Amino acid sequence: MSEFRMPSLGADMEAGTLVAWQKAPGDRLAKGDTIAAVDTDKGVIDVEVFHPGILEELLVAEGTRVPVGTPLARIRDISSTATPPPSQPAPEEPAPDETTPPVGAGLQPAHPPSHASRIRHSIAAAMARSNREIPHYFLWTTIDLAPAVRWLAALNAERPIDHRILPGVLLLKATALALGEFPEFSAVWENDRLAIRRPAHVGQAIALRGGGLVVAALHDTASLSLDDLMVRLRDLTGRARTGRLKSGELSDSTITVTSLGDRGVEAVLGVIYPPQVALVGFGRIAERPWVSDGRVEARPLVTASLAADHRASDGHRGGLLLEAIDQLLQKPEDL
Amino acid sequence: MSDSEPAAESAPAASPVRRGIAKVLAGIAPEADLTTVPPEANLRQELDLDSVDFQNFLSGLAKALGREIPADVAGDLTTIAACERFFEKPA
Repeated sequence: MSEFRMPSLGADMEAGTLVAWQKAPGDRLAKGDTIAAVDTDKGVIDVEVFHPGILEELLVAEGTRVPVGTPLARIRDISSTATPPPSQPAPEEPAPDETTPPVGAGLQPAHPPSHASRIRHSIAAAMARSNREIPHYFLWTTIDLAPAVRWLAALNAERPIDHRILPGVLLLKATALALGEFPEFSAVWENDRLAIRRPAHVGQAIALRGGGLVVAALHDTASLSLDDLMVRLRDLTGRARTGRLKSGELSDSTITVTSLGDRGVEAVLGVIYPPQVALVGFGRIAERPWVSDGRVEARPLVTASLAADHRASDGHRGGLLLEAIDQLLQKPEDL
Repeated sequence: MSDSEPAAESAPAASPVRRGIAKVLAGIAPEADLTTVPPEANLRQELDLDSVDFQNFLSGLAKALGREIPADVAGDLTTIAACERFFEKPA
């Protein structure tokens, strides 16, 4: 028997409200099934189970707000269903946050603050912690995107609108591939120890309508084709804004990418999202002067930046990471 | 009924294109009130649509109105008026 607990969907989450059960006692659960919808500071999230089993008993009623780590349901291990010995030791669980619920994160008042103000609160907590604890260093470089933009335009010209790829997808893929060579930037702090995460799950920062943002994971980003990545990005963006993200999408990122696309400012120097150790930022892609062979030309350029945790890496390696991203973008056909 | 005010020349019956735009945008920017957006205003700025939103918008519009959008036109369909001109023109 294992307990399904209120998951932690980010270092800043203290509690969540169980909005709806999507399975009933007796239901068989496969790994990845959505068991419940939980309202968090980041919106309503579909929470997945990590092990197959049979839903035995619901412990928390719909509409209840509970601290992270609170048991929500009991799940019978699927391997023990043939002969369910009542006193079998609990099967291995997806370590439901060794961290005990923070003091004071008890039941919330009957009229919780508005969604927008909770998102604000949650971002404030994570970013204040980031600036307090993480010794950031910042690097940036300008990348010539002419080859990438030209290659993409030719590719898109032959495609229906639904299958066109945005430049941001190339930036994501190049970043993910570069992380293969510089894995120390795809990592999280775990009990004061740096845990490198391979493969990298790049988290895309997505602005929410009405304010705030979420970081949504693109699992094993480097393994996805540009087409798959585009489909996922559109799906994630749509669900982050109007629908629902899944728990794994909120909790699994190992590095964040923030990309301003074709609007916005020239460069972004990010604030790292704890417990991650790096954030890659791409400013607006725009035509600007570029010197090539002694001549000034107008070219589509992007300023790529790295905000990294100096406890986990040094500027030299950070510079090489940005250089690797640059080189990968010069051969878009290989992405 | 008062005859003092001309019945607030309220928005002429929405064209099919405008209805399509409203329907698609409802799934992308649900809080947006299209009646307050001038026809020549840039939708991306007006409704704060990023490049992924805009791609979702155009894809949805192409599907809703049953007409493909060539790559060299897509970047120009940033206003309600431009969308109407494109979709109302015979293919």
